[in-house]
Amino acid sequence: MGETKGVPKILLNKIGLFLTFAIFLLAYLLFTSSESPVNYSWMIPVFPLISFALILLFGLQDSEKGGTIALFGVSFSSVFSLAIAYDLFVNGTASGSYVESTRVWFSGSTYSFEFGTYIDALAGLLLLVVGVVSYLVVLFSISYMDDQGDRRVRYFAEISLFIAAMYGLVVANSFLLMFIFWELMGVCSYLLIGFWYEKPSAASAAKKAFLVTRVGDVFLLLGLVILYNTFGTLRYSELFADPQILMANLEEVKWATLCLFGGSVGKSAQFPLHVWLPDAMEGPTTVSALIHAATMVKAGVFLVARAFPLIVHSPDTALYIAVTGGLTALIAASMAMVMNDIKRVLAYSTISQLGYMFLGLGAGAWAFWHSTDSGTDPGSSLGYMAGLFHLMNHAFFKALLFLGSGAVIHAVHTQDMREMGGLRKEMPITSLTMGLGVLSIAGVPFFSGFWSKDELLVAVYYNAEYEGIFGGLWFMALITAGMTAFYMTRMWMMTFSGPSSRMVSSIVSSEDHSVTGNWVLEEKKVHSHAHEAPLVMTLPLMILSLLAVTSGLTLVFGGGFSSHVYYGEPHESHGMIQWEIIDHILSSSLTYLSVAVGLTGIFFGVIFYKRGPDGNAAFSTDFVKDTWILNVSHTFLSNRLYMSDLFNWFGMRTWDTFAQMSDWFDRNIIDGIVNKIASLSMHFSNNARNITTGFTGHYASLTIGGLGALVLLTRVVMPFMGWSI
Amino acid sequence: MIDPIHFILFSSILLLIGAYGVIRNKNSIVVLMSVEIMLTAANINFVAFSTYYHDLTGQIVALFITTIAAAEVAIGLAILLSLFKQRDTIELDLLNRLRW
Amino acid sequence: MVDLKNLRLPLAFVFLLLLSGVSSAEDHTVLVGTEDNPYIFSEANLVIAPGDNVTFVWTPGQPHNVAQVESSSSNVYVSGGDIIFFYSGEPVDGVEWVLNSTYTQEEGILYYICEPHAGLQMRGQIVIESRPDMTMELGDFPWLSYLLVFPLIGALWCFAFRNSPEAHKYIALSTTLFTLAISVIVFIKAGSGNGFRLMEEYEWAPNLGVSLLLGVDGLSSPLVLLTGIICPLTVVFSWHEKEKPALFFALLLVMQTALYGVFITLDYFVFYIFWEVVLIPMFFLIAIWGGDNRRYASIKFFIYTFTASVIMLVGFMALYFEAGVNSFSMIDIANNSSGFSREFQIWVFAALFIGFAVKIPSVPWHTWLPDAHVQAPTAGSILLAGVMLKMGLYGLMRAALPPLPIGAEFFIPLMVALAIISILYGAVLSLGQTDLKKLVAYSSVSHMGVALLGVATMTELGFAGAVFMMFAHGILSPAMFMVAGVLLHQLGTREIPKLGGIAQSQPTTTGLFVVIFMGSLGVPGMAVFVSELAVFIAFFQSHGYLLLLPIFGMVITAGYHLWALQRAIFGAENESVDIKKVHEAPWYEMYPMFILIVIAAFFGIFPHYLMDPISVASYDILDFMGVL
Repeated sequence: MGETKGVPKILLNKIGLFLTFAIFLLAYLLFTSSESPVNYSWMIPVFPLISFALILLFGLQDSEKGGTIALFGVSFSSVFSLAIAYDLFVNGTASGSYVESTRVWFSGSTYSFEFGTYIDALAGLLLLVVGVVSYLVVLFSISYMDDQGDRRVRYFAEISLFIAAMYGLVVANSFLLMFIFWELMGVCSYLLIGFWYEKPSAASAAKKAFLVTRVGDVFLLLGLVILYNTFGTLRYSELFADPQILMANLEEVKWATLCLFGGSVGKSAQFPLHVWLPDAMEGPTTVSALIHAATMVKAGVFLVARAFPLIVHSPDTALYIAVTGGLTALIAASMAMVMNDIKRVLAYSTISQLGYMFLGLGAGAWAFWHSTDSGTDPGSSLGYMAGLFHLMNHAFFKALLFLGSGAVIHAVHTQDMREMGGLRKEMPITSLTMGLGVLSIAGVPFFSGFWSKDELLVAVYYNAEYEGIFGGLWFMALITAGMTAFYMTRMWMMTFSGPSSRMVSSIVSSEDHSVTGNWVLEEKKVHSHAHEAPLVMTLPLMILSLLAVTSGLTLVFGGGFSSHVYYGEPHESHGMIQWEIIDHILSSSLTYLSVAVGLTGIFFGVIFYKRGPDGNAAFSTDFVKDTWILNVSHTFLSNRLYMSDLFNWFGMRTWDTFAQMSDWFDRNIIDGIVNKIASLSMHFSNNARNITTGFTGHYASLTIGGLGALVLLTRVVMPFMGWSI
Repeated sequence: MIDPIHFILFSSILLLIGAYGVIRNKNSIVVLMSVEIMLTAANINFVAFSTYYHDLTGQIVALFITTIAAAEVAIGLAILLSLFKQRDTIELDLLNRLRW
Repeated sequence: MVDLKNLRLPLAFVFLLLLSGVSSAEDHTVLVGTEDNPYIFSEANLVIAPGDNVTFVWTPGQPHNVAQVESSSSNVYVSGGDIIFFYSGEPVDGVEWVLNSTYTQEEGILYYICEPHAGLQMRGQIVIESRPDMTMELGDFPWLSYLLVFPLIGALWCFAFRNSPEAHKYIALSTTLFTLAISVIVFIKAGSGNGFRLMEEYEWAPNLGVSLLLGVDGLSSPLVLLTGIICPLTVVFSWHEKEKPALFFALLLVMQTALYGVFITLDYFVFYIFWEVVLIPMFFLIAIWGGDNRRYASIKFFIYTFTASVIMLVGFMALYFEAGVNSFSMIDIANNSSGFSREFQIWVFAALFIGFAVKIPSVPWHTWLPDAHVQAPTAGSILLAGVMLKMGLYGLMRAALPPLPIGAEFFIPLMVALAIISILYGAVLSLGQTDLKKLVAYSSVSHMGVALLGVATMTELGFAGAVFMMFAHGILSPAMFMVAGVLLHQLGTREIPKLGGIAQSQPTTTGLFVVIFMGSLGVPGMAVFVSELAVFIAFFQSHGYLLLLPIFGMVITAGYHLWALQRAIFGAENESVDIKKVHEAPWYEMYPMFILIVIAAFFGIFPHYLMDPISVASYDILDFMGVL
């Protein structure tokens, strides 16, 4: 790996160049037309799309095999989206409403489909998130993928296409357009997970991802169909315009929103369609960081947030969303505790955190409905705000964690945490930034995760007095918070703490295993040959860790998150620091409870997994194997609740048998009838031809007999029967 | 005049005799003769009705039939001659190649 | 022996000459002065269709002339100016004068007078308007006849050059490219207006009422375009055909003519003729250049579809006799169909439906398709799947629905059931196949099931989705067959378990493969998605939550496509694959695939180019049926 530690000057120059270009273009457009950049939002997906095409055509000529072109495209779109976010949040454009531009896609006399852009605070938030994360990931991957040679062309092309699709989804103005980009992202995800397509496991994981999300997509399409047929349109502006129409069609709204959420369940890997996400770790880690942590899986949350005006009219759906979110959070967190692959820990963590977001959104919608239903003024939906706040925070620290793990994997060439350790000395920046990420996600006070988790828990708890099930959900969320803290600490400890070399003992088969069947205990010295990642890789980590730490503070600094991103009423902003929010949080006992739970989790993580000088932890975890119930649950969780096996069995074996049976049916029964008819006529002909004997006498008798029969028929039978010619 | 029914009966019997001959005989020449008998039966029918209706058309047709019968027999005999040269037989029982 | 070589060119020109200027427009006669009254025109108020010819015939006696004037009350002929009014000349006695047809091209009213007798109100007017129902627009250049005749000429040339090693390929290619150009022109000229365009009529048997009536509307112009696109690509793909290549290309060209004939003819008799003629080249293509079991497959294909067509013929006869207009023209019969009784409509629709259902192919009459596809050469499969299958649904919409709305309504539940079964059964069967070509064949059954579902909804969006699916499937299914053809060509097998891991040796081709498979399974950005979207929305409109069944088919569809992709192309290299034989596909295999992808993507992103004419035609059909 003998790369230089610094960034090659050329690359730095290029980065600076692109950013400057982008900023100049933006400034030019703005100053010459003095419009808000929101009107140029249609350009945002176009830039990565153009770079996709350019990479396919010219990628091989590039020194980075497409990396610079990709960076070019993503710089432009990032600058534009940040500008729009700035315009929306700081200048207050479109506050409380939206900006839309639309044109007709195709139409007839009785139907019409349009496409266009729709920018409001929610879109602005996602643009901010995607803008930051996508740029940093592309930057990171230029160095991360440098050993892949010409294959990078394909990688950068697919990443650019994906980013274009994600932006398209965010700025889309109708559910239909969102669905189109949703599916395109699924295709890109398939291509990127299966990037190393010569590995059967990767190809299989890609197929699994696509098929499982396809099940969700089918539900999403069904939801779209119901909406279109009930309301005649799929555009957000038209659907959300008149609550009266929504009230008149509550049944359809319920089914439609349930189906829409079905799509989210697939795309955001919620239970029971979560099985694809851990396997998706077969792809490059940067892909996991971008797609499966920060952007694509967020699309499901984005969909629910977008459909919020519909969901608040359907309490059943809201409840279902909250329950699914809570359950998923708990189950995924429990599985993350037993994983040994660093990426799988992060994958399950993502699923769990997404569950949190859905829990918040569902609780917020339910509360909103409940207030309007019981006549009170719902004000601002706390759950909505909390869920989206957590979305933003999670995007930053999860991307950070994934990229950091990528740097680690790049350095040590293994993904198994049991073979890591002591990297803290060799990779200080990575370990520090990842440590900050861990603290954020664990909910340590004043880091970003703390603020958002707290708001989420409050939102759920608030509902508990009206609907008991929320109490259970709150409890699950609390436990999950503890588990999150635990497994994250475990991950950090196993990877970074301790000495840099230690003895690892494992049981392997002996050399004469085939003869004697013996297993021997092998001790090997594991030494991490890691060195710190180059600047191109650590720079994104540093930026992301900064964001991870500070993004939570946007709740209270500036105008406050909840005065910009809200549903219902905006939160009143009082000056630069929202003291009352801080007050509210610090005075609530719930806060202290959740902090206590988090700290407990960290504590247990430290004592069980912090590596001492000999490489092992202070307290051994062997008691798990000794206690029967813990052992069983450990096995259960390690095998991912056997759900994958269930899916394989149900998915593959059942359908395979069914397909074979249908094939037999088709070939032997349906086709058999056809062949039988054919053979019958052959049979008949073979027998019938015996009439032509060749003897003239026979022929003559047939002729004369026929004549006689005709005479009989016309002269005798027909008058008798009453028929006429 | 004689009641046409007798002529009809007579010609029918002749027809049937001829038909029987065509069907059952093994000798081709006898078959040709039986065909002649059938044609004669038709002739008688025509002439009988011509007389009954006092319309000469029937007798003209009868002349036609006679002529055509003669021509047909000539052709038939020519075919039989050729067949005999090829197969050395005119027994219909042995001539059955025109079959399935 | 006459040296035919020298005669080919002249013969071709003779053909062309025969065609030019033969488009028939109606002729009208106006008498200038009658025996009773020498100062009137008869008829003074003449209503004609655009493009017709008008002849003025003098009655001998008084001198008259014919001069166009501005309005019905003006008495003065003004010559010159921006628009030159027609003028027969100075008043003369007893002549004939033909009005130049340029004046009758556009709709409007032409006023004319006889100059010396204008004060006596010797005036008249010619009203030019399109007929209100099933509008016709007669063109003056026989585009559609060219479509029919050119491939035939090409076929004759091809066959004539059969002993030359290379010439027939180029002849076939140039002919198909030329017809592609004509089809594109026809598609653009047809536009998205109401009614039929570019109509031509040549009388064949006036006693029976059979005439070669040609015309395109929004329903047939996409299919004409599709045929035009697919045929050159087929020729290119078979560039290195070794066995009897001249006959091969000649048969392809004859097939093209027959397919065009089916899509553009508006006369039941001629439709049946072309319908049957399509079978003949296909039969030979399978029987001579096919796989091991080709005799069985070709005979089965021929007799199966032929039998169904005969039943359809009975239906056509019934329509002819019941309509009572002594004409086989679809327009005339449809216009006279309001008197058909319910019983009649049901029986006749059943007969027609059988004929079309076998061609669609709809389960349970689909079993000829897998065998025909597996045994056919790649070019044959491309034509079969790309264009021939569309004949069935097209025939249903064009020939069966307009005259028999009550019959159609009776059969909607059956059509819906058959469509849903086709979708699901076809998809499940695809899942169980190991031969890639058979897998694609069953996927055709599934996709055409979606199209049939669209027709069964009896809504504008559903029809539009169905026709769009015909086009989309007609682009992507040939692409899938090309994939199978490439694999067969390289590795000698199409069995998926025997393939694997070839992606590493041919990255560009794999990229094309992946895009094609993704497009076929319905990824947005390619044409199949738009059609599925339209059909599903329309189906929910008409049948509500029954949509759950076919929409679930989408998952199975994705399943078998990806399974095929993963097993055959990705993954580790299979031992039975001779990796040295794997190489990037040659130009004549790559370019057609690439062009098809581009077309599918273009119409997937900009569907309105097709959807506009299709929607208008669908609306017209439904409006005519009285369903809307």
